[in-house]
Amino acid sequence: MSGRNDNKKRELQDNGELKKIFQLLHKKTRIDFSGYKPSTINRRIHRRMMLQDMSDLKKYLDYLQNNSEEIQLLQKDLLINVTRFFRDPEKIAALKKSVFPALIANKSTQEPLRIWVPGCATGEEAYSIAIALNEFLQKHKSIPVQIFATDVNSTAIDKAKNGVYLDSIAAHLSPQRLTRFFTKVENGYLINKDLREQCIFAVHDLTKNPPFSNLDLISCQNVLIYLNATLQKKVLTALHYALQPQGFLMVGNSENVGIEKNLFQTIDSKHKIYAKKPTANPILQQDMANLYQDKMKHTFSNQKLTKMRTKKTQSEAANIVSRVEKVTRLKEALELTRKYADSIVDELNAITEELQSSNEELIVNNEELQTTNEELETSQEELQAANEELLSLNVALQQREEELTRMAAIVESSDDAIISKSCEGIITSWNHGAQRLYGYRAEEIIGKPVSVLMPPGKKSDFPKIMGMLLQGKRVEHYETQRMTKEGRILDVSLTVSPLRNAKGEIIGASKIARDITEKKQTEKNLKFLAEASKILSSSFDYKTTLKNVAKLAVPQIGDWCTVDVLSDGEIKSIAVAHKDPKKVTWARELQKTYHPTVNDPQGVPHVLRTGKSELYPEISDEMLVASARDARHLKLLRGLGFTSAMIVPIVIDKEAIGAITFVTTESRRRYTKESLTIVEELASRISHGIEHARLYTEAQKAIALRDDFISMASHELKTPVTSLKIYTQGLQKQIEITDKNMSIEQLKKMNNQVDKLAMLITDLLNVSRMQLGKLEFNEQSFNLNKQVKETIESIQSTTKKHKIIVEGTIEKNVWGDKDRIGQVLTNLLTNAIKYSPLSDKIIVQLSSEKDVAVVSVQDFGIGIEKQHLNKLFNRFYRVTDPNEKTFPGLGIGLYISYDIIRRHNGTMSVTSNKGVGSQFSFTLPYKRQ
Amino acid sequence: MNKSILVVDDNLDILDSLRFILEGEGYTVTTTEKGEYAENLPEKKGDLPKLIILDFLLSGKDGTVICKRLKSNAVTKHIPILMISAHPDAEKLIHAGGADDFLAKPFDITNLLDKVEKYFKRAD
Repeated sequence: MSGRNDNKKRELQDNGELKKIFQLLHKKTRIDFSGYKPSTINRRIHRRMMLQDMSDLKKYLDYLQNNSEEIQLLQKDLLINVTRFFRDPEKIAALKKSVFPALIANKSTQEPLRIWVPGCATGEEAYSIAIALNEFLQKHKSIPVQIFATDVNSTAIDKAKNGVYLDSIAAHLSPQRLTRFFTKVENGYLINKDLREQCIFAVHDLTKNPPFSNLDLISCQNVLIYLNATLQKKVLTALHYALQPQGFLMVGNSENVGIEKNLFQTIDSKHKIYAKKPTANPILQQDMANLYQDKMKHTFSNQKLTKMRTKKTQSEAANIVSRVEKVTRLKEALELTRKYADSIVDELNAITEELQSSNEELIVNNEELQTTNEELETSQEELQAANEELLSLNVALQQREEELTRMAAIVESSDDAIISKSCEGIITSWNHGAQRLYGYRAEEIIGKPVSVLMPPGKKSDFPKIMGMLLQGKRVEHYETQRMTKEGRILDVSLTVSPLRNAKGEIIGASKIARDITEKKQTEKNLKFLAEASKILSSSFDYKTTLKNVAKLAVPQIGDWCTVDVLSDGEIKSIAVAHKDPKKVTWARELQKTYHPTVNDPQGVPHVLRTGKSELYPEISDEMLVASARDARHLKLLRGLGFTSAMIVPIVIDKEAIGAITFVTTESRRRYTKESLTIVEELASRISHGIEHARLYTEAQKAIALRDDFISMASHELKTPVTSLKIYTQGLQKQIEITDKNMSIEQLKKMNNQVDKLAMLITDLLNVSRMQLGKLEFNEQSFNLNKQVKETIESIQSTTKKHKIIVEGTIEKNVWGDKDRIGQVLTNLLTNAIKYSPLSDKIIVQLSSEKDVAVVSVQDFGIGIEKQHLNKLFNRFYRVTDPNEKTFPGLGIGLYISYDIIRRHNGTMSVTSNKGVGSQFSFTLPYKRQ
Repeated sequence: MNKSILVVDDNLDILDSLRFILEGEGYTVTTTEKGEYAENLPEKKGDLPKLIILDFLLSGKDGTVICKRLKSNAVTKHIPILMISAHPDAEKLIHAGGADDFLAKPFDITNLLDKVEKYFKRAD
């Protein structure tokens, strides 16, 4: 009774809300709970309200009306799905002992055993009966089995249909049963197919839907306890109807069929097993019972009874008279006895009454006990439900925890920075990636405002991002800048998601930040390269170009950019650019005072020596100390705040002609291999640019040289033509006057001029042939002494001033084209004469070496400056000098001579001293090579 | 009458051929390879030539410089100077020097003799 009192205490202030809740539930779930026991209903609703933190039923009704999820939850709570495998093994054993044998006795092997398990919840009870029955049938008789298992809760039915149960069921099932009827699956056990197929699960409301029929056994456990008396009656009638005449009903331990005792006969009171009483229709039978009693009262009256008695007296009159005395005596005796009996009866009546009252008391007590028992059972079921709920919650919790641990590990090991913050912008979590990116450790940053990560100018990011989140907008790949602990600015891409509490309110945000500094830098770099290319093509003066590139490189590539070039073995700074113009002066001073020297083991000199780039991702103080020359130098270096540096050479013709140095200071940017690749690309473009400019300049020079040559050639050619013309015309006049002697003299001179003209033209031809590689040689073994002698004779005749002296001889013949060699010699001799106008001798030396003959021509003329010597054999090259510019010639003689000797596998060389004279030598091999 | 002509050219062949032709015409011809000779004419004692035939490009000397010098000196400025050159742009360049006339090499001697004769006629 105390339970009931408690319930009363807990009873809710109901002003019609409960009815509304039932209506709502009926509408939404198709289940009518109005017939359910108020105590249970109250307890359950009360529990739900506690969970929702509500004390007013009206409020709860409002909440329920607007929250379909809560309706589901309440329905679930009201329909207590407490069950497990072999919950009451004794009852199953009782079934095996007294019910199953009776059922199979009358069955043929084709006729199926039909069993109904209403209120089967998630199916454990139905499967338990199926298991027991299968075990029983295996030992006795093979009969098909049909188990109908129903419940009003469709979710529970779905679970039963799936037949998958948690590992914990092993506690209630023997290993033999587990092995035989289940298959182990992930996280549990699956009912075997044959067992599953014997069970038919369906959603069915026992209180509403028509029952099944012709059933052999109904196991309806712990259903009735939740129903009030009216519904209990209705259900029991339905169950009676559903059973076949010899069918059995089993109810829960605290349940009774007593409310309809006419329908069932007790078979096993302990285990609550009943047999169907053979009545046609329980409703009809009741009516007939009432009818019979009425008829007995009214139709069969005392009159009829008396009539029957009189008939019997007439036929036995004599016997009556004779026995009157006897009767009288007996009457007396009987009277005595009756009196005695009466006293006994009175006594008995008293006792009976007493008994009756105690019995009634007992019944009352029993009922009370029954009620208490029911309450207890209900509470126990609720407790078990709560316990199982807890158990499954615990499993879920454990899984959630594992999930959390796994998630935490993922978050922790992520390369991206993952942090969370409150709505106020206070950092609440900080992963390892965040530490790597921003430099702060979790313990020093958690609790600080997120704005410490924002550089000036980006502080408005926080309200902006939170604003977007609150508006329900997605914040993905938001590109902005952040600042590290050291003050380094990073380009980052942010993806921010709102964090919500259980009510769905935004309580903060989680942020994934990815460092896109490199990506941004790459974009900048590509842009920089494109701009640099423009600059490179804008000027042919590479110093101007380099200065412009250095300007462009700041601040895109570095805070500093300096350009040094190698000039006559000295390192010369040609450009210094810095973000801050004041610092340029400082840097110039640094370079001036502590100018790098070519032999420095690292830095620009080293890069210039090796032609290899240098990368200093991080310049430590130790490095500054190591490279400082003195205390002041160190102070200057420290003052500049170097962070990172890289030096790339500018290579032209495989030789480093300069180097570009990029340094970061204030921006705290660190150069990487990628940065180096970019500037190497830049250096390579600069090299190409310079190379192009040089080639262009050279081409321009060559064109100018060719123009000069053409005008020179025309001038030179015109000179003999001029005198030829004069002679010819003079001759014409002479002939007119007929002065023959004079004419012969003139003709000789004319012939000389024609020879000169022919030689110039030949030279021109040779040059173009040489260029095309078509100069032909007529090679043979010949006496070089003789060739030298003949050439000298021919040249000697053209000069009166110079005496050509030959010294030495060549012992062996040489191999070659003797006319071409004569041409070389002529060229050298005429040059010697031409360039020694004030001297009177030329020495030709002949000597023999092991494999080659050597010929040299020495003059004592003006000599040649050193700077011209290596270009002397170039085509069209004429030594130009303000005082020498009018020495006639095409500037192709030496070029042709050099080529002829080279192609004879000989060598040609020159030694000369300005103002002293020159000596040209060539060698010729003795044998064909 | 003094029909003396000074020919200045660094090419001996030219000097030879001009001497041959001009002497054939009855002129008194002095030839020189050296520009200095012409340059120093104002300081020279004795007769001055009546005409100078001057090559534009001389070894070590620029004909226009010599021309300028002679034309700016009171002693020599009246002497007509005929410049000759094989240089393609010579005709344009020599005017700066103040030469009286120009002949491009190679020239027709009729042209030369006409011009020479013209100066002597004018002098007469």
